[in-house]
Amino acid sequence: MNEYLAAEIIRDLDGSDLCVDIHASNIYLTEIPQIRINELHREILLPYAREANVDFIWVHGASTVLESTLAYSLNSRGVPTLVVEMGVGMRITKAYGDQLSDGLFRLMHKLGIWTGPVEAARSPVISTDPGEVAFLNAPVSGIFVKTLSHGAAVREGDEIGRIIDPLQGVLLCRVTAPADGWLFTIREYPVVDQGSLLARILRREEAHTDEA
Amino acid sequence: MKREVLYEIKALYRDDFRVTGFTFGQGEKAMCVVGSMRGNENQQLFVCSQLVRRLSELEADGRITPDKRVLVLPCVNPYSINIKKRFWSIDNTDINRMFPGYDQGETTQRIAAGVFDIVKKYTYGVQLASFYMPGAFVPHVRMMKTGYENVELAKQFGLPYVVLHAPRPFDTTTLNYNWQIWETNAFSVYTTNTARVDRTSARQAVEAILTFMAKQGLIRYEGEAGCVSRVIESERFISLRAESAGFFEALVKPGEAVAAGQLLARIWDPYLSTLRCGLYAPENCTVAFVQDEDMTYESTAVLKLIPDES
Repeated sequence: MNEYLAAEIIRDLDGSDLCVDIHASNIYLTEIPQIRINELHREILLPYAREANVDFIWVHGASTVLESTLAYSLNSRGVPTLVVEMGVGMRITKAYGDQLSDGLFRLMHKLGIWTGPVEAARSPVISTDPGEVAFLNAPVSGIFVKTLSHGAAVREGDEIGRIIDPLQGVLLCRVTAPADGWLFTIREYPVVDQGSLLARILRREEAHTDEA
Repeated sequence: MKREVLYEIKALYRDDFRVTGFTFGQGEKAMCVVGSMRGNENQQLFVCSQLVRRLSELEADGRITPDKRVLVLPCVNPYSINIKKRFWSIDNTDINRMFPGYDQGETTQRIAAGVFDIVKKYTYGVQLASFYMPGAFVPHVRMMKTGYENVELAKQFGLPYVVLHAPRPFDTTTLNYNWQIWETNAFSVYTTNTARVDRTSARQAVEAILTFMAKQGLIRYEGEAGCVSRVIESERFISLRAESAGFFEALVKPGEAVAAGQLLARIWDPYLSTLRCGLYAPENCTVAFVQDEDMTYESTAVLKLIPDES
């Protein structure tokens, strides 16, 4: 049935001028409003992504598992498709919804669908180099208590959160920023196993707001 | 037999996560068998337990070939087995979609990396796998078509079918696929069941694995002759889909030969108990797969058939 549903969705969306695939992350992580673009489709999608009023555009490497996604399938069929991640799963973040709604109207204006007024778009940070993104994974199992919120600017060594042992009231480790940058992902779900993703930081000194 | 913990993650509020291995013989890394990777793979765990017992007996009798090492990993995911949940307890990820793994990555990526480090470099690898659809299969050996697959070797298990499968993008992160890429002759062995133990097909799987090992010169063992395997591509399977949702009643079992036009299953209205539709064999076939859930959605593949050779 899942394959059948996927086929029908593709059939329904095929031929569209643009598709925006809106995600709210999963229940474990909070994301700032961002668009993720497969580097294979970068040239076509970046101009659209800039109009979408998000804070961050992440051009990432290709991966075989991504070939099974809606966005990859549509982009491969000539339907420009943007993937939006924002907020945290199973929760409504109204400010982000309002922000993206403005972006959707800008996109419709760009496509000639909407002739009404549009808000000015934010100028997003754009990352194209995999080395720019630092992943912080839990070195130990425990309960993660965050110190900073997503969107915070960080300096190397700043405390992002702590992993504690609630049974004994002991600090197991401090999680600190490995570099100066921008905290664009932070964990919300407190229970962590060794390896659980805690945060992502965009190394800010290498980030830029426009393509060379 | 040597029993040891081969991979471990320290835990905080439950017992540590441990992958335990049972090694027989010593020397060249000849054969590795991986059992359950998901929390509902009880059949796979049971098959490994039988294999461990049989190999212990063979080793005591001096029947493991000198300089050949055999490793059995009955369970790669004891956490999920303990709570009867198919995927990883916290984030619902599938270890068998994380290979070859990444030791600095997320938890199941680390587990996959740790396990792959143990199992790679074995000449032969057998994974006791389960299908993503809930149901019963005719026992068979399955291999991904990577260019490294060895069909003649696969026939030496003596199971009724050797199924070749063209990998889809999400298959490239499975153990079988990566084992092959890293030059292990890798096979996925499917028995009838997954969540429930079926001792008959478990015995068939153990026999098939021991027979294979004997034919490769890893052990001295004379088992049953097994089948002359028929080789078939998975694309040739005929899927019968439910035309309607409702209670699903299967009238056939995996392995049964059916004739064109034969009624194979019925779907019943869940309120009225009236017949919504019947599913019929389109041609002479053998039943390869039967869904084992009582309720079905519309358009779900509830039966898979292997057409007879013409």
